[in-house]
Amino acid sequence: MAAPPPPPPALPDDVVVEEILLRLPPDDPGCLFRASLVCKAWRNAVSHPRFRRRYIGLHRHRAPPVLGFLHDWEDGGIPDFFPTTASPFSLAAPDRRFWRPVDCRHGRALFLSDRRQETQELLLWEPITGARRGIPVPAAFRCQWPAAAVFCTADWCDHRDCAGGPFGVVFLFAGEQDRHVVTSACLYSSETGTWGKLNSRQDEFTMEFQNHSSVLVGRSLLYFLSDGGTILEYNLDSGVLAVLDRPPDDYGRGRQRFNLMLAEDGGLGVAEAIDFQLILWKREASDGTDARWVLSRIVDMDSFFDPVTLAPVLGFAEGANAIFVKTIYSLFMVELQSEQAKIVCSSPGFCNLIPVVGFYTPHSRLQVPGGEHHSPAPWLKQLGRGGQQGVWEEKSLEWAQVLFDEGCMAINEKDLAYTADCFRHVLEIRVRHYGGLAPECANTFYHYGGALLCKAREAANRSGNVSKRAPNEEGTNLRGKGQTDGNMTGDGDDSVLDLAWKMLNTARVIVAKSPEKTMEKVNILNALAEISMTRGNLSYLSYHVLGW
Amino acid sequence: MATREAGKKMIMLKSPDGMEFEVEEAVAMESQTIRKMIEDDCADTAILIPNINSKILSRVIEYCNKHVPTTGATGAAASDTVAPAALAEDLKIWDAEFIKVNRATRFNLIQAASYLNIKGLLDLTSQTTIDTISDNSLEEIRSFLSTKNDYLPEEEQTIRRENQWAFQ
Repeated sequence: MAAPPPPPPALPDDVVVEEILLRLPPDDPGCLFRASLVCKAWRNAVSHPRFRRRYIGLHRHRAPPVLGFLHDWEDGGIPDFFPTTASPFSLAAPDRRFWRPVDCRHGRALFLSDRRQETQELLLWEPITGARRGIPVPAAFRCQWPAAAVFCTADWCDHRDCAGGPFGVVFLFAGEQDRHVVTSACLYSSETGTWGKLNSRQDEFTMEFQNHSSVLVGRSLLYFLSDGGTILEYNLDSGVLAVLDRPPDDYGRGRQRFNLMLAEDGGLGVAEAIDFQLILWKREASDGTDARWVLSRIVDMDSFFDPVTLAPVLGFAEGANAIFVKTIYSLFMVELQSEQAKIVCSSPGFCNLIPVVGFYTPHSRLQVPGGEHHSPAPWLKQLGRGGQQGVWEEKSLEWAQVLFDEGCMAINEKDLAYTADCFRHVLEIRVRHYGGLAPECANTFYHYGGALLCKAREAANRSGNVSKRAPNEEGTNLRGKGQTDGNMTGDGDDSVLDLAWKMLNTARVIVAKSPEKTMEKVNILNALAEISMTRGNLSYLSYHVLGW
Repeated sequence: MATREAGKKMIMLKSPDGMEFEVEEAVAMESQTIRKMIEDDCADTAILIPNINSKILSRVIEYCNKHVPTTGATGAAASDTVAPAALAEDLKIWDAEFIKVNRATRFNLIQAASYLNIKGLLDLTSQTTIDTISDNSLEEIRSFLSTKNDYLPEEEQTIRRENQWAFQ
């Protein structure tokens, strides 16, 4: 009897391909990029917004990886974006001959145009999407080496995927006013497209900022380090610019050998390279007294590589907790948590490094143009006509719908933290687009509030009880700062429940204006009643909400 | 719902080719999809698992049986207690044996694990292919996975020109 013909080779279907590609390691993004080149089906799979959401969701328990760094070294043989990944990787960064990188944070890098140009300009570049946007410098700017910092301004954002949203830029520069040396700072908002008021302070000497980028502590304190070793604090809320003292010189030659970083507790820190050691300081504030520097940790570097004297610390990767140090031979990246060091480059010529941190997934614009299966996303079609702002809004709204569906799926899977995360993103996008009390946002407020309530319920079930506390404010001001800080990281049942209340109550306020939305009203009131009962304070609901 | 001795709740899983598998509820609940069905009271008698034939379903059940947390009668979460290293090592060896299957079966297992939402099985079954993608050139990936390169020659050329680093 003839042998049966061999079965056709097994081909992975779309589900299988997506599941496999989702598991490619985030710290080796070249794998995902190369996978996108295998065939068009794979390319479409990895460049879909849904894939990106799932990818970040699946890897949410790890810190975002350091993809590489931007720099301003003059060696033309070194690429503008220098990868630090295991296998080859590249991002099409702006040409450093014309654009000097000054900062990178929250999925955006900031560049300043060449200082020899008549009018200087800032350039915002999103490493993952490749999007670029020009920003004028403040009119009063007249010096050579200013500092600038970029950051996401979306409330409730966890900054793992916030490119395309609203952002702020702080610009810091020295100048002269009435024959005095002044250092000035001002804040740019992407939402208004304008610079705010200039805040200045008199200083004894002109500060320049060529060698260090900034560090953001919490949501409102930005720190800069001048080339002369002065630490400046800029408060985003008050606009106050202050000078901080430096860590003591206990270990010898301090001053220009240190760099700013985030300490383990999230506060301001300083990394100092002395001989074969990294000395880590943190700024410790205690009630009633001035904050002071305390020694946090000493990392012996001679166990990682041949004992050669360390040169200054070159850069700190926010979000990934890694720093770059160089010796006379090589450049190293040190992960501070694990104290693992790896050689990044055998050319030690860099002076200021701007680490690029984030989850990379191929973006549709990185793909080859003209493929018949590849219709560009709607927002890309608009590039020619609408302004970039319009393009980004379109993109955001489409993204919001994808996230909303993702959140609905996640709640079915009982992944409440992820659900809340998705709805929070959606809310942020829609509130920005439609306004805080727009009818289009009611459903999202309801879903987000509901997800938070489930989360609080789950936490209460785990701990076996729920603390009872009356809500302290009605809180319909959804864009207020500081209301939601830390809530999504599970700071406690109360804060989650508070936020749930605020969201649901806003949904209630919105639908109250629509006479036809009876069912929605019932659902919202049900959820609010549950929160009130959890707190043992039903009278609050009766009085404030139902008007009984 | 069917019950058996020792008070363990049993549940019936049916494959589309008519086979029935009686499994402990705790084992079936390794699948987040089934867990949800049970929690929503949609699983009174038997659960039909569409698209997964009996051969694959029996392997999936075998995996879940091995990986179900060994907990006391109260059903307290096993994640609270760290499994002894020996147990983890044993499981690792078992997994390595389990995944010695041909490619078609592996893809079917991935598909089943995706539908049934069993994260551990998805991670395990995807790993071989992940290694293939991570360690090989584009041509080798295509050849290993019998995937056809459907880029037009000029598209391929543009890709190569713009992303030379990916072909090193």
